[in-house]
This record gives sequence, structure tokens and C-alpha cells, in this order.
Amino acid sequence: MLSLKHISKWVNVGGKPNFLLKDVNLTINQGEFISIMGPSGSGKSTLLHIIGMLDDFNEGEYSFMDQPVHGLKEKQRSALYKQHIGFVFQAYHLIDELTVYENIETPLIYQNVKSSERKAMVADILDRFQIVGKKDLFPTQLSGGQQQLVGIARALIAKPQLLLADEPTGNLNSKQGEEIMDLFKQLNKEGVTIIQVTHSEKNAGYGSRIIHLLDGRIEQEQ
Amino acid sequence: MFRNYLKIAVRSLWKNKSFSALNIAGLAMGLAACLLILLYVKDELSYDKFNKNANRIYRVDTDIRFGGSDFKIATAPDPLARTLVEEFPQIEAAVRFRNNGNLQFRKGQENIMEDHVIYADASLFKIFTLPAIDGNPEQGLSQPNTVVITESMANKYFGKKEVAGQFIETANGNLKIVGVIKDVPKSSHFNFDFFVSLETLEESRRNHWLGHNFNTYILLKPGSDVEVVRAGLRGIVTRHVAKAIQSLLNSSLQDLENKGDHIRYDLRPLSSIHLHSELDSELGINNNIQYVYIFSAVALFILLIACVNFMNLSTARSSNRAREVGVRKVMGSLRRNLIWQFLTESIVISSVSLILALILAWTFLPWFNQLSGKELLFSQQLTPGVTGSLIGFSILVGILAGSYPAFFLSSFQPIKVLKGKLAAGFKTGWMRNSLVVFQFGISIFLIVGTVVIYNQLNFIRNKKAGFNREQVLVVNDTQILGKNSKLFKEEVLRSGIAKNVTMSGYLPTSTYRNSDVVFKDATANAANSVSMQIWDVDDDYIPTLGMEMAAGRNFSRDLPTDSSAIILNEAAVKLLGYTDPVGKVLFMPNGGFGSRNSPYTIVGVVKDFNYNSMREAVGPVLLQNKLEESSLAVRLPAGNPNQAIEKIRDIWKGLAPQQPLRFSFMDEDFNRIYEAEQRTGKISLAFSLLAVLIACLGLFGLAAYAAEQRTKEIGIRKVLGASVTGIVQMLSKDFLKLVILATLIAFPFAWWAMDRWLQHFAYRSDISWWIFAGTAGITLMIAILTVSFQAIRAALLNPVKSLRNE
Repeated sequence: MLSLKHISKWVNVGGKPNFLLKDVNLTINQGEFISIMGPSGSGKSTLLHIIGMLDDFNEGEYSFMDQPVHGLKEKQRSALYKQHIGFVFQAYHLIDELTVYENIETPLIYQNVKSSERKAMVADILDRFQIVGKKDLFPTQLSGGQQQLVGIARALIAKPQLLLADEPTGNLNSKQGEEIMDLFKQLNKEGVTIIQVTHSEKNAGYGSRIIHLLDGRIEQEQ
Repeated sequence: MFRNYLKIAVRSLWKNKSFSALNIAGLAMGLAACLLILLYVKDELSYDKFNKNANRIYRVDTDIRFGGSDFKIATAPDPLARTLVEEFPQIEAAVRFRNNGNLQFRKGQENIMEDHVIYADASLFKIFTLPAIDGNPEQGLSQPNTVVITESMANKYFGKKEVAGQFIETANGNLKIVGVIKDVPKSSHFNFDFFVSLETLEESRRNHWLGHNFNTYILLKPGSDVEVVRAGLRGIVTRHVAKAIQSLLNSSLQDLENKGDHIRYDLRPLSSIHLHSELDSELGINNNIQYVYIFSAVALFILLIACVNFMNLSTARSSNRAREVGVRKVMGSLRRNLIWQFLTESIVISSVSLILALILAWTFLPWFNQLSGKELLFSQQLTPGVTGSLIGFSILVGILAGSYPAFFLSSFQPIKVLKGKLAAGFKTGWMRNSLVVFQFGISIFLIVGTVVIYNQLNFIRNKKAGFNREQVLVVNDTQILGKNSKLFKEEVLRSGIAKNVTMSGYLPTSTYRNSDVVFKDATANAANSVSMQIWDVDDDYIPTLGMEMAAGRNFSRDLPTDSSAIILNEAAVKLLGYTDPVGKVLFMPNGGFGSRNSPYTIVGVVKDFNYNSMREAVGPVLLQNKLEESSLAVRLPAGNPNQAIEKIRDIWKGLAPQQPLRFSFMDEDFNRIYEAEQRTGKISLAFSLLAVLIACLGLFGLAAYAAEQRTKEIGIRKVLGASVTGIVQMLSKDFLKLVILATLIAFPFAWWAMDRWLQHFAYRSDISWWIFAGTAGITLMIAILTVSFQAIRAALLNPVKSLRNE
């Protein structure tokens, strides 16, 4: 599905490069469920953002579904991830002004999906996540777990092949966290490729492959 | 998509109610002020445009330099109109107006003095668009002793409109009404109710090329070149005026011109009269284009300040919106989408503001009318065109004000804002700081401008004008008492209400003026002639008006020879070039037009007194000891004048039971000369206060956001032991620096602009340091109040709370 070759990213501190990622090589196939682990500052999030095309890299090659990402223009890149990638954040990042329904609908609007189709798709996913009763509430009226559920629903609405999750259970209690991880497992079974960043060994265990990062390098894969 | 933008816009505005209220209030006030000024400017620019032939109508202006004096007048000799039509094939018609002041009309048993009376040629109706309601004005007015009246006068005197053919009684005999026209539009540079046929006056047929008493207008034929006519005007001078000069002054035009004198005619387009013409003998009071410029600039400034507010508050709030931008971008939003979303928000705000502005403008229109002396009506002004352009305008303002936040916010890198890295960058947005400096700079500019205008007006009002205008009651139109006018003066004196009473129409505050030629020798020729104001006054004139003598003595009624005595003012002495004028002899005609020159002895010199607007320096005046009975000036003792007025009324009734008593106070007449300036002063005061208010609204909002953003910092500082005052200082300092910078930038501009404005006055106040110090002080005070309110609120917050929220 995607492959990273010799990816490096650095920032200059006092004229010296400070590496965030150093010579990362990684290939991910369709249908995998990958957990990225590592201590704070090891480059987990940076790697996830690069995969999600939200961040640039300084060196190396990245091809996503046989397209060289490093050669694409901003607009093409945006069009590419819009279509294929969904994001889930630790802090949910729902839009406070919009209702649950509208939050989920927003990506479809940006993809110019027709209104009638949007309705059907949102209704589908609300039904599936069993949050139909909450569709007219605003994010602030929901618990953390429910907000994250909405966040995942929003990430999945456009039927992406790849779901990127940055510590999705970081702000949740253990029971809520477990539910979310079960949901991920279920999604993975249905064919969605998932890459998650996590601190928790237990959550990492849900994945098919664990990548350990240390100081910007892949230390170990298991 | 658009519906979606709109929905989000409305919700986001609703969610941040206080922010939206600040924004909308500021913008609405700015728009309302703009709208009012726009109506004013539109009205000013529309003057005389109601005439269908407006672009073919020209007035003949006369420019004379004679005997050291300049005369720029809106009138021309009586034969000029006829001569122009005869000699220039390009001219279709010409009309003359002769302003003879007011005229008394009779309605039943009542005498009414009408001010808006004019004598005019019948061709008036060919040139100006004054539609008839009844009768045939154009045909009828060619006969002497006829009059055309307006609809409202027909109603006033007869209670109906159809009065053509009836007679109306005046102090000058009966006039036949030959037509009724619609009222002259307010937007006309002349406003008369009675058009008496010019044929009535013998003067109109005098063929006198050196008298300039007729406001003359011409109508060009369609397609004719005005420049051809203008170039041909010189020929009129050489062919006709030269002869008159020869016969009257015994010198040739050539001699005169060699001496530096001249007579020139020029054509002024009708459309430029109201705003550009400031000549003597205008048909009405004109405005000055300067004020149109000043007000337009003020309107633009206010709008700019309001727009800047909008931009500033929106960008300040951007840290709150940054996360939303990031999320949206991650969800696939293009920059374009975000720009549109933010623009929609600002257009929603500007549209709501527009509606509010319309309500505000409507509410304040009566007040504005009072302030500006206009009679604007909302219903008249809101034509579909205006409404359409208003809507377009509000969208434009929305785009203008929203574009900076829109492009700024949409440029955020999603990953950075989601990581929360942007917050630090907001505190020191140089763009926002310069916008604050900009709007406060403008506010300060406006304040300084207003203070200077006010200061100048006070200066004029309190300057020693050379005469004492306090407690002087002026009874007007005393000439209608006829032979009893002298008796009136004596009875007023005898009644004991006043010690000093003088009879003369030539008062410093009246519009009664008479300019004529004086000769230094008995032989009249151009070389020894000078021109000055020649006023007929009595021996009580100087003491009653509190004027001071610089040399010599006042007229004395005990010296019979004083009938040929004259008193000059200092300016006249200077013009004549005399060092010791008392005892010298001048020559001038002893009675009216064409009479022989007689000698007059200078018995005294009166100190200069201002008799025109203080825009102009004092001109030369010659006071002649001669009866002139058109008004009576009474110096009342200090105190309530009502009793004196009643006594005068009784005396008047005894002498002229049929006539209405008309009087005014001299200080009010004096103030009326400066009405335009006072209006400008009041309007600019109102609008500059508004500008400051709007700017402060913006500052208030900015301070609120700065405090909100630094909540955590404030919490930490408090935990570390910072005092409330310390925190207030810290928060206020940044804004006050900006205000001080704005002050420093605005002062030179303000000084320059106001210095230029003051150049219009011959007597001007200084732009002293206290104006700047005061302005700076007041602005800073207001800014401190505004900012510290927020700062104190932030500083008083419980640090535990603000830290836990993080």
C-alpha cells in the first residue's frame, strides 16, 4: 500500500541538524494493523504525520498507492489523502460549532458528495456506531469516549483505505479505550488498514505488527 | 456548499456573542455615520441638477480691479444679458435677476415681510426648470407689475393654488399674479417665493455698463462651445464697457489697464455655483466644496476604523479558530473553501451591521438634519439604485474587512496548529499592531482637527472685532416708517431704555453694503481714484457700536459743517497712503449716480472693525454723516432685554400699527456669518467622537483577547507572587505603547492639515501645544480605561482555576 525509503526529517538547532527521523524504511501492506510505539520524542507522531501527508520530510522517497508523494504538489497531495486517508486524534478535534451529524458530514462536503448521498452515508455510519440518538448534540455535550467515537466515524465516513490514529485512547479511561480498540479490530477485519501511535503495550497488542521507534530510528519490529 | 458556510457562520457568530456584538456594533456605527455623510454629500453634489438644461446654463461673473480694490461679484451690468444674446449666436437665452431685498406683502389686514423676493426677466422659465401649475409664467412675466409665485405662497395668501390673474398688494403697489409654479427645489442655489417681473424696475433699462447689480445667466444652444463665448467676452469690454469708462471717468480703458485696473467677465457653469462660488452678491448662501471634502474624508476614515476593528478582532480570535482550521484542512478542506467560509462570516456580519446601520441612520437623521441644516428624508434617498449599491457596498465592506482574516487564517499549517504551536505567534502580530496604530492615528487626527476648528471658532467669536456686539438690539426695516423713522429713534431714546441709539442699515453684521469711488482731487480721473465701502451713518453710530477713534473726532450734531465731514477707518487711511489724514479733503459724488463731485473733510479715523467674515482682512471704509434709515441699533443696558423689546414694540405700534416689528440681536447676526464653520465644527466633533468610540470598541475587544490568551501566564505569575497592579501594568503596557506611537505619527499630519485649513482665515488662532498635549492625554486616558478594565478582570482571576483549565 505504501512504502517509505530512507526517510529523514530534521530541524536545524543552532546550525546543527537535529534529527526527528533518521533513515526510516517501512513498507505497509493493505489490511495490516500497525502499532507504532516508543518513548516521548522518539518521532512516533512525526512519522504518522508524514505518512498522513500532513508534514514534509527532508530526504527520502515516499510512495503511496504507487504514487510518489514527494513529487506531488500540495493540491494533488490534498486530493490524494482526502480520498484515501482518515485521521483520528488524541484530542478528538471535533468542531465545536457543528453538531455530531454535521461533524461527520463535513469531509463529504469537501469531497463534493451530493446532498442526498451524504444523508444516506451519514445515516449509515450513525447507525453502525449506535449514535443516532446523539446526532443533534454538540461535541461539548458528549463524554470523551463518545466524542472519540464521533471522531472515528468522521474519519471513516469517506470510506478511506487507511486510518491513522494518534493515541486514540490517550484521553479516555480504560473501559472506553477498550471499546475503541475493539472497534479498530473490527474495522481492520473489514479491510481497513490501520496505523496507530500508542503508549500502551496492551493497545499495541491489538495490532498485527509493532514498530518500536527510538531517537528517530526504527529500533525494532515485531 | 454556500448554505453550509452560512450555517457555520451564523452558529460561530452566535457562539461568540460578545465578539460578534462588538464587531457588529462597531461596523454598524461606522456604516451609519458613513451613510449619513453620504446622504449629505449626495445632496450637496445634486445642487441645481434638477434643471433639465443644467449643463448648458452659465452665470456671468465679474472680476473688477479698480482704485486698489478687488471686486469679485456674481452680478453683471444690466445691458449685458441683452448684448450677449444679440452678439453671440451660440446663446439661446439670457436671464437677469435683481435682488432688491425683502418686500412687504399684504394678506387681508396683515402686513407680511417676505425675504425671498427677486426681480427677474421672463426668460427665467426658458432657462431654469420651474414647472408652472397655473397661468403662463413665461408669457406673463414680460409685463411690468406682474409676479409669479410659488405653490406654497399661493396657499399662504389665498388658500388655493389656482390664483393666476388675481392681484396681490405690496408696499410697492399691486402686482398681478401671472403664474403659479411649484416650489423651487431645496437643491437650488437660489430659493425664492416671489418672482417679480424685472420690467417693473426702471433700473433694468438704464443701460449702465459700470453698475453691477444683475445676476445674469445664459443658456447655450445645444452643441455650442462655451469656450468660444468665453473668449468673446473680452470683446464686450472693449466695445461697450470702454465707452462707458470714457464718458464717466474721462479716461480710456487702455489707461485704466496700464494702471493695473481691469474689468473681466467670465462664465461659471451652473453646477459649480453651489460648492465653488464665493463671490459678493450671490443669490443665496452657498456651501464650500472644502466641507464636502472634509466630510467625505471623515466618512472614509470612520469606515476604515470600523473595518480595521473587524480585521483585528477576527485575527485576534484566530487562535481560537486555528484548531478548527487545522481540523478542516485535515478533513480535506482546500484553502479556497476556508477563505470562502471566513468571507461568508464577515459578509454575514457586515449585512447584519448594514441593517442595524440603516436603523441607526434612520433614527439619527432628524438630529443630523438639525446639525447640518439640511432637510434630508430617508424615504426620498432610498431609491432602488441606492438600496442596491448599499447592499453591494456592505458586501464589499464584508470582503474588505474579512479578507485579511480569511487569508491569514486559511494559511495555517494544519499540523502546527493541531500541535498548538501557533499560539505564541499571535501575541506579537505586527500586522495587527500596525492596524491599531493606524486606527488610533486616524482618531487622533480627527480629534486634533476638531479641537482646532473649535478653537478657531472661539477665537473668532471672542476676538475684539473692533465693535461691541453684546446687548445690541437691531430693529430692521425701519425704512417702512418713512418720515416717522427719525421720530422712532427719538422716542426710543426718550423712553429711557437705552442711552445709545443709532440709525443706519450699514451695520458690521448686516449684509447692507455700498462700494463706490472716492477721488483724492477735485478733477475726477482714474489715476487719483480709490474704491472703498461708503456707509451713511449718524453721529451716534460710533458710540452706540462701541468703536474707538484712532485719531480726530466723531461727527457732532452741534457743528452744521459736519454734513460734509467723513470718518475713515485705518484700512482706508492706509489705502490712501496718508500719514496724517485728519483735515485732508476727499471728493465724491454728493448725491447718487452721475452727480457732481463735492469735497468732504476727514474729521477722524476710527479703529478697524470687522464687517465681513474673519476669513477676510478688514477692508477700507468711509463713514459719511448722512441719514440712512433702514435699521435702528439700540444698545441695551445689561440684563433681561424683554422689557426693552416690549417698549420698542409699543413705540413701533404707535407709529406703524399695520407693520410687523422685525428685530434681531447683533451678536446672533454676527454668529450667523460663521454658521458654516459652526456646522462643520459640530459635525466633525460628533463624528470624531464616534471614530474614537469605534476605535475603543476595537481596543476593548483586543484587550479582552490578549487577556484571555495570557490567562495561563497570568495564573503562573500570580502563583509566583505577582501583584494585581503588576499584572494590569503588564497587560496594558503593550497597547498603550501602540497608542503613544499612533499619537506621534498622527500629530505632524494633523498639524499640517489644520494649518492649511486655517490659511482660509485672515485672523487665525495658533495651533498651540496644549491641543496636542490634551489630545494625547485624553486618548491615552480612554485607552487606559478600556484596556485596564479587561486587564483588571484578568488579574483578579483565581490562578488555580485558570491553571486547572489548561
